[in-house]
Amino acid sequence: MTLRYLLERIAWALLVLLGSSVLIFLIMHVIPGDPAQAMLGPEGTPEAVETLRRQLGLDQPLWWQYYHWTSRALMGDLGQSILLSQSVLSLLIERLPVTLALSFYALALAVLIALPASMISATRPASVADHAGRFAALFGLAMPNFWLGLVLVLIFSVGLGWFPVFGYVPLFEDPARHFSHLVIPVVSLGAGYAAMILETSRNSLIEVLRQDYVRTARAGGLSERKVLWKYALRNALIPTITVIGIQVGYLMSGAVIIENVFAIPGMGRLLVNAVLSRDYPVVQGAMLVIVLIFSFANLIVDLLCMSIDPRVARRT
Amino acid sequence: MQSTHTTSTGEPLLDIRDLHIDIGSSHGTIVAVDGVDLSVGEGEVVGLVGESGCGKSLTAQSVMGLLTPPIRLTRGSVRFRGDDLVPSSRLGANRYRGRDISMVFQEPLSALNPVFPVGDQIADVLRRHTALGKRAIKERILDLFNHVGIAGPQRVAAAYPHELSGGMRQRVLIAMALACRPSLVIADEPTTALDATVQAQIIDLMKRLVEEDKIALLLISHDFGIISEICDRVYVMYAGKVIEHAAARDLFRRPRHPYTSALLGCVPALKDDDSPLQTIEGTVPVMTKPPVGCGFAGRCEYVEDRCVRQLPPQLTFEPGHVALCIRARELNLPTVLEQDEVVA
Amino acid sequence: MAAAAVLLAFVVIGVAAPLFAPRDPAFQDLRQILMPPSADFWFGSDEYGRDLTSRLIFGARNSLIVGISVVVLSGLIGSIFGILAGYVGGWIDTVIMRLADVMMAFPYLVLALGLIAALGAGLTSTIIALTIAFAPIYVRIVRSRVIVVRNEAYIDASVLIGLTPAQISLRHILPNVTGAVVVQGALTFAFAVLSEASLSFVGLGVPPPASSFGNIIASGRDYIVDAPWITTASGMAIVIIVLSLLILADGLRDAVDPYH
Repeated sequence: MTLRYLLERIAWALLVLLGSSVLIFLIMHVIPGDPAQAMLGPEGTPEAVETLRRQLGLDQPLWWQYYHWTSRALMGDLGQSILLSQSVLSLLIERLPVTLALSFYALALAVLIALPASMISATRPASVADHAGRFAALFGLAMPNFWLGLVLVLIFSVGLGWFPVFGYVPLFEDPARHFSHLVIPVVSLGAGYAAMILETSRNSLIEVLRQDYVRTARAGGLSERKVLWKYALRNALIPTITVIGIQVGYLMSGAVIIENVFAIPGMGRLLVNAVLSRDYPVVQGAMLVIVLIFSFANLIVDLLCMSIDPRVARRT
Repeated sequence: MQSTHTTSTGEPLLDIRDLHIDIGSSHGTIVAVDGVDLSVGEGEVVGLVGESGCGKSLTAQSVMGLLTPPIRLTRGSVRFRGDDLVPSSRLGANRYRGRDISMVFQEPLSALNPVFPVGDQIADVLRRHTALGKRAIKERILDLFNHVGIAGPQRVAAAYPHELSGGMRQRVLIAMALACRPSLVIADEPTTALDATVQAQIIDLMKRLVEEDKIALLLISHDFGIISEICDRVYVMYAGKVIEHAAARDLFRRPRHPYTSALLGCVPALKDDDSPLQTIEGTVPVMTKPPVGCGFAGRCEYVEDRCVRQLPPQLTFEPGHVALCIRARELNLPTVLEQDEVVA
Repeated sequence: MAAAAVLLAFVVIGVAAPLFAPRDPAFQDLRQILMPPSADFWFGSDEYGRDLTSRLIFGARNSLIVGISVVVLSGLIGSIFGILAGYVGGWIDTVIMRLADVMMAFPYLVLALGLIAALGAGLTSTIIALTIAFAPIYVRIVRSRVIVVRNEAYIDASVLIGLTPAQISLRHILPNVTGAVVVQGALTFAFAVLSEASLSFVGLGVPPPASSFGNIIASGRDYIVDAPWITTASGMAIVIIVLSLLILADGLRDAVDPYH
């Protein structure tokens, strides 16, 4: 039964991926504006534009172009970057680990802070700690992450000199500098995400603590600690983990901006630069990979939920 | 009002005196339990009857120390084997909970954690109160399941709550309550959420357990039928007070309080004729301000002026039979059972 | 409620920007570069000598324009599709929901970026891009509400009486749906403001010399040490507005669904 559920979820993810590729393709090719013209700029002569169009296969019917793109993508060929003389694939391979590192650290930090905070909040509702935590969370959500980054830089890099201002050092080159470069970006990125997790987890825990089975556990004489950690938390984690997964989208949206603020050479930076310079193959490829990562994250979340909640697999 | 079954020290097993429980709300403080005296002796089966909202569940939960704010125990004592539980009524502090006193709740599905197998949940209780090792715990669980009549105990222990039937789940809860060999089990509406056939099975099970294990049972219900089958003594509650209390036999044969009589008239199973079912007009009052006189006055057939003006006194009839009604001695309330029809 | 007051102020200032702004925000006075806040320049001046106060006020106006447009458009479009999907059902429902699922498989800024790549940067493109990115959530919310309401008995009764689907939608479905939509609307507004700021910050939203909180922060970035007030003031403005919107959304949620 669980295997079937797993396969169903994977099939579903693949379908969504397919649909996304169609959407990406349509965005780039159907919305007004001639890519070739845009790429060459106003100086492009009509003949040059025409040549470029034929080169890029833009004169072919739409479905042909789509098929062409996806079949080659499946073989690993996503085209060449117009701006940089590199294949799109190699660019993505270069940048992907960076973005993954940044996002993963932010996710880990957010979870490590938000979950315990939510437990304190839920066991002491309406206390000072609870209100303080929730307000801090609200603030974290309301602050633009790039602005938070700049403020932190002002205080900690420029003011106190604890961390470098921008740039990136790969992990294997120099772990210490790798992390010190990433501290401020990760904090700026994770703040809003942590806020969302805190709110969901807190509400979910409060709800769970009111349930009959918690009362049964207490009636059995179990200590409050055990009741919280074993009986309440596991149940409360189900909606929380779901939100953690869904909001990975929020996290990745934020990563795109943060990479730009701190000159971190990740996929987000690549995407923005590509949009600015109309490097369409890169835009397409980057979007595709980002959707892939997001879908994968959601898949993992679904599987986690399934392992925690025995009723999930049964429902399908 | 004490039971005749006493412990070796001569005291009843459970002795509740003058219990007062308040609920704070945005509408003001509600008096949920207004001076209740109740006792249960060793090996006795005591019934606690009343409509929803009369305070019976809260009384039971106060014994277990399960009251959480805004519900507060404001006065009174709850003694178990002479030990007053009130000072330690905060969650976590009551050391008898789960071991010497345990509780069975109403809704078997929601009372079990859906993400753990049921065996695990019983194991946790055993781990908490005993020093048994893993294998010993497993054996004990299988024993318990056999004892409560669960077929295929191994399979059930590994199952999740949603995979079991309602009756099976209730048996599991009963097993959990018995796990640490308690002296007192409180059952709060244990059969209400079950089908009629399953109800009968559970009641039979409880009868058997009481006989075999010599456990004292405090059975809370709004269903007189069940009470009559199994209880030695019965307390009837209304609006936070015990309005009548007697040995089961005496209560059913000759109720002394109008409310008890009216309640009995509502039970189809106890009536031996085709007279129409009675209903009791009105609803239970919300107790933000306890009335000056008798709480039942508004709905009582036999109400008189003096009922409303003063608190009704406790009148004693045969030993152990007490009613809280100013007119109790005058009234000749209809009975529903002939003497020899009463289930002993 | 304080949040509502703050928001109202925001709206008024934004709408009547020209009345409030002490100076033309584009006017460059190169003799007054990077002046700290003073009686003359309430929030100081930027690197081109432009009055920051005025730029902030017009920036507020742009945020307001984007916010309201996006909320109204995405809410409207999303709701219409949601009602269609929920009420008609069948293959239309399937198609619409799959489309919504695919759209929600994108992180919203990434989708917006893709659209801006095709449309070019600018205020209008930003509005269109964000509208498309935020619409699917309305589709889902409205559809689930519609399905619940549709199964109620009084809908069948209405059909029997002879009301058209449009009439039924208007009279019965809409009132049940509006609550959730309004709450989501406040949230969308908040995220639209944040997104527009982010896009403008990286140069893909409102282009200079027009002012947006985002591009003010971007230009203030280079002078963050010498003239921190530029970055601070514009950031705080965003925080205040978004905070009010989030608090408003919370309050609305309690009003609509007290059992939450």
